[in-house]
Amino acid sequence: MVTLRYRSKRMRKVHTKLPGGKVVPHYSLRNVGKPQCRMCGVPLQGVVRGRVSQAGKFTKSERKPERPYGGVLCTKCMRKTMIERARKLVA
Amino acid sequence: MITVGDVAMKIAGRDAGMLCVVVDVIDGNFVMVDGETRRRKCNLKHLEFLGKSAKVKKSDGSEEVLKALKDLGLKVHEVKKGKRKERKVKPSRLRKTKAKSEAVVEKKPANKK
Repeated sequence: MVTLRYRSKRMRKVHTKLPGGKVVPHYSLRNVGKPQCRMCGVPLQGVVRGRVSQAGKFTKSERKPERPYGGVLCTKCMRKTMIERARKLVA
Repeated sequence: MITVGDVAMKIAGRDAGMLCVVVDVIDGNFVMVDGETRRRKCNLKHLEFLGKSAKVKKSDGSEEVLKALKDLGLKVHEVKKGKRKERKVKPSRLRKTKAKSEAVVEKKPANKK
């Protein structure tokens, strides 16, 4: 049986061939997914891709756009929400 | 037509979601804007007008513009300008250093077999 920490879906199973010819499962972390807009699903630009430890190497302004909902929504969806907010103010 | 005093919300950029008032009309596409936002030139495409107008002159400063926004009954978020808190000086441990005379005494010649 594999050690407990490798039994989760977090880990990726990689079959590697040893010099003796034996094929053995090795375990590695899965790749981090692309950041997407939470409303429409378009891939976001200007967001650091990687684990938290990797993103920590960048400055705060380099990690994601500095506008509200930066790194969460795309510009189109953000503008839509802002327009809705503005129209609610009047009504 | 857009005139001085029209109230709008900024839609795009760092100031998105903030209320502002048109202070000056530059041309058909750009206006000068002030209020919750910084005083800045702004494209009309980046503004959503509320259909209200505030009593504002071209020469008014940003404080007067904010006041005019408040008079309309709009909630205005203000940045409080307070005094900076004085940081407490953390007690730092000084590195223990020996007096020169002691250091000289402690130096011993390496043990020779």
